[in-house]
Amino acid sequence: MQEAKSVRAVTAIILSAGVGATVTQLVTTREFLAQFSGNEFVIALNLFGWLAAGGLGAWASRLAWRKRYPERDALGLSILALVMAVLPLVQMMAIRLLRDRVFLPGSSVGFHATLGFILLTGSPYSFAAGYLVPRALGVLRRLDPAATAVRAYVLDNAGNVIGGLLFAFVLVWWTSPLSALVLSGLPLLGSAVELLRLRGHRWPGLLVAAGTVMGIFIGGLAWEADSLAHGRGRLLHYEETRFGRLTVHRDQDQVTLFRDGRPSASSHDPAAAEAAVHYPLALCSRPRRVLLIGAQAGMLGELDKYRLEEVDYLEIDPAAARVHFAFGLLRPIAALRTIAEDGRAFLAAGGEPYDAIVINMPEPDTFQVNRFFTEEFFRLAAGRLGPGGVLGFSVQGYANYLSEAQRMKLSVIRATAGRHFAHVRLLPGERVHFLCRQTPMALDIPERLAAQGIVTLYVGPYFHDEIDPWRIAQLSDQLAPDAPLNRDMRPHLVRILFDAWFEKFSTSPLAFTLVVLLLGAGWAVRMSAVQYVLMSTGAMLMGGMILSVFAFQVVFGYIYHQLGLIVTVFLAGLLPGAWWAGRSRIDPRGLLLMGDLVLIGLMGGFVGLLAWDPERLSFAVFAVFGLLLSWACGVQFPAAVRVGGEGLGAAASAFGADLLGAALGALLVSVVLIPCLGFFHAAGLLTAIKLSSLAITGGRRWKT
Amino acid sequence: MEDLTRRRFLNFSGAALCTLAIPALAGLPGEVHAAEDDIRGNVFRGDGPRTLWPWSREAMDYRSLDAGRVVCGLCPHRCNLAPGDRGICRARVNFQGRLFSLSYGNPCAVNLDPVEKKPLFHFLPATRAFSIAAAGCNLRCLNCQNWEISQARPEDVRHRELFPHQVVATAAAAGARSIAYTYSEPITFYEYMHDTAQQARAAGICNLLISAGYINPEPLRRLCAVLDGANLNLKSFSDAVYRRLNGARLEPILETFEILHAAGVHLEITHLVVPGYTDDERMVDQMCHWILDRLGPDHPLHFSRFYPKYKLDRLAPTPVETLARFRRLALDLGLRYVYVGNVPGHEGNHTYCHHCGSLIIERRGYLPARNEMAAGCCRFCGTRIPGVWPDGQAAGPPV
Repeated sequence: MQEAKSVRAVTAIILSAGVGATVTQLVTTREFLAQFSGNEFVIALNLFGWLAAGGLGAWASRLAWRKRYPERDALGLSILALVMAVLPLVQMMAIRLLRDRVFLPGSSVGFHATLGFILLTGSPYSFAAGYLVPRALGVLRRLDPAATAVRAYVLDNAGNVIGGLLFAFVLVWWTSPLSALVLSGLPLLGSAVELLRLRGHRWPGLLVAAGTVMGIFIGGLAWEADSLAHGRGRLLHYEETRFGRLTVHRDQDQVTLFRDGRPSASSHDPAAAEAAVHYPLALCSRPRRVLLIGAQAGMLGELDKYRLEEVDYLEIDPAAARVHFAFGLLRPIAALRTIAEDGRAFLAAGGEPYDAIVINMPEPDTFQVNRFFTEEFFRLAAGRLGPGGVLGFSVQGYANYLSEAQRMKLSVIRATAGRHFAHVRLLPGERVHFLCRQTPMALDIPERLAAQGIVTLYVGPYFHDEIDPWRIAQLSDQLAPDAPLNRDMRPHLVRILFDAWFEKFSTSPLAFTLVVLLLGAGWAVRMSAVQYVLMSTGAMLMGGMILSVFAFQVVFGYIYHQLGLIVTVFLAGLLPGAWWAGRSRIDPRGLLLMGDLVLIGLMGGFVGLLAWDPERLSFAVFAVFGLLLSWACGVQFPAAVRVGGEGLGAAASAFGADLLGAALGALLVSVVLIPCLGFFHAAGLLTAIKLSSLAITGGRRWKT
Repeated sequence: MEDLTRRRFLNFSGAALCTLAIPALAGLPGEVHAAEDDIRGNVFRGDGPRTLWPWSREAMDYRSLDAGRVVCGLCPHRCNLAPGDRGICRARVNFQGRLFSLSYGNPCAVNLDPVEKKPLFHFLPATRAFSIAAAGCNLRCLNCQNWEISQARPEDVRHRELFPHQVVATAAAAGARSIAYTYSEPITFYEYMHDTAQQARAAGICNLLISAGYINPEPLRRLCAVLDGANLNLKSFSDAVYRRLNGARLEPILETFEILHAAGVHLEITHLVVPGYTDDERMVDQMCHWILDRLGPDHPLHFSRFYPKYKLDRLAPTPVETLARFRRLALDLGLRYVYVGNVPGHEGNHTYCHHCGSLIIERRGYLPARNEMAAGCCRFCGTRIPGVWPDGQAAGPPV
């Protein structure tokens, strides 16, 4: 009876650890995005570090059960579970505390520094998470010799799926990062204490253990808001929204909104608002209707000088718009209509034409932002402008020298906008402003403003000295006439900005990636056929998931809220796949073969849909793709275990191969393939890896 | 399937740890300037070109050592270079036992700017400065506005060919009253600047040094002979902040100010107020006292607003209130001309007579919208205003 209860407690530990692992992974990804550059490399490095450390943890667990006594194993597992319950919180505190101690406060850091920091702070938990499942399987087997590796795999994945759903439908809406980690750690705490109790440990000790964990939980929660206030003045507001982190700080009379750790809008910055508004609007003869996609502080006040009839202000994150108004960064005006919607979806829906469309977006260094700089977007924007209408937007420019990356960036944008606008003018400066129209434009902006009686602090007095004909001509002469077009699925701009990011830090991911891939290749050569199949399956699943996440960003433009759902669907299929394969009478080699064929077919089908018309893809397509892909991967794990042997060592190797393959897939797809070659080539290479696995599964000789 | 032995696990883990350690070997040291106390960096060993290009010139200030080594004498870094090495500034290399500048006649940025943009508010207002820069810098400022050229090798940037005589001719043709050596760090293209300045002076064009001032006394004194004006950036009044944020030391920079002052070069001072780093009121107070004691009250001081730039892009801009407070502080201490920069429309953009307090130059944008000066003096009270003014007279200490 006691043994049966202990089995249930161990089962609960595996399940709870799965729940906690997914929530921790998602919350940590979000944290790293807010603490570092926020581009795709951070997602990739976090996934890589997570999976690689997890894989190492799984391998390391093979050493642990030898020469052990059963009771010590159960005790060890319980202590590990208790540690894992608080480790996510400790990890998050470490990230926030160390960010400004390891690095200069207020500074951004490059690839290697980001990687080092992610490995330093994230690896302990992921190592423990990878270690726990095979370790728990060992304990389970001592209690119930019939327990299989597949059972542990299924339980772990069931926990992952529950964690993903919990995050997507509950935690992301109603909790802060630290409270999400606390909540997801409670089941692990409970099941660990229960196992300790069942194995005869006394209540005082249990209470001390549970009390210590709870103390860390409460301390972490109490400290949460303070951890964001460092060096930026008084924290006025902190909010985690579905789209990112918003903090508002006051330093004397200045209020600044930070989005994901970067200053996004600041009071007392008339120059930026004036330039964004008056450059395009001064060119309109009698503007009535204006569309703003995103906004800068003070913009509405500048727009109000034109006595417009209608201003539609689109902000995908309703909380961001609310915070702008609440802290005086934007002042409501009579003609204003605030709409919480994605800019592209809004434009695609059609409607009355605008006299001006003004875009205020960050740099297009993510797939999410890039979609406002693609040919597809410019087509939509051109279609929503009335006669003489102007599209205005700006990107980061240069003070005095146009670097090669900037030159290519501006050239690509000009060429791409030029596909749908007869006239594209660039105004040089530390922000380069683009003005796009179907009819010619003279850049007599101060004179036009003066004629309309519009008074400005910056544009009128500074325009001709900042944007003199000399600088305009120099910029125009330097742009590449044959720049490629930027498209949703061929995001040249993202690639260029990745290069620029590396150039800024005088570094390259090449050496690191090459060494990791070489080590991976060396390991693949030495491993058994079954392990290779699992490794390539892990790479396919993770590569497919990253491909989906990035493609999802391209199509829908936002990811944070859906990140949990996407991760969940890419885990959800593993469970039924493994369950079905565990009961199937099909020869395990046949199952592996079938799995490989399905994976290859699915990738081909998904890429075909992306190539056909990405804008028609719905979330359902991503969900079905994720479910089926993970189902096929799930089928392969029990089949591989059956081929490789049910021993604990074989099981740990299987877990390890799966995780390390996933780590390599994450690194390869997100750091090398998509940035350098684009979506289609990335899918092609993943398919090639799986074809090599197919060649093995289709062959007759097996090295097990 | 093979069992995992402890030995195999250790081997595997060792390999994995080596992989994770690669960042430290490959690029980490260059990226983690952050918590470092000093980011001055090192010379680039073996990074010099195999052959010299047409824009090379033997350096003026260096000393030969044994085995072909040289010590650059231009700036306080005093880079000790073996043959084939490149200095910290990236623009000077030891080529076969002789030190060469790779920035001579190859500016990568050429513009015609209002002189007020430098900023120089007391030097021929409303005139244009022909502005040139070559690649390289002997500092490592994390908030550098021109990092694409300051943190680059001359070979890595696009450039124009403008030898000194061509610079002078082009500046004259453009109607510039002055040539500004600016943007990156003109000290790193010292020879080019020096030769151009000599020719410009002969042609009646003024020479302006816009610099961080990290230079040794001897080359600076030589340069002073051909300089008409300078705006030096006093980035901080703390040696620790200089080392951490800029990769330089404070003391040599203060010496530069004193030498320029003693040489009678028109000098304006810029202090960029970076929140959390250089916005300490006590430090600003010390800085103003030092300026008063060593340079006197007449050198214009510009408190400039910081905006997120380069690697320091996760800070808010400087609150305008801070700049205004520092301006009041400096004026109260006795500095006569204190400005607020990078804040359009602020009263601190204008010039007020230190004697009668009247508004004598009202600036709208860079250019004066109203000028109440006559012959270098306040039109209201006749007090001479320090600076170099259009009607030919360089006003010295006011009467």
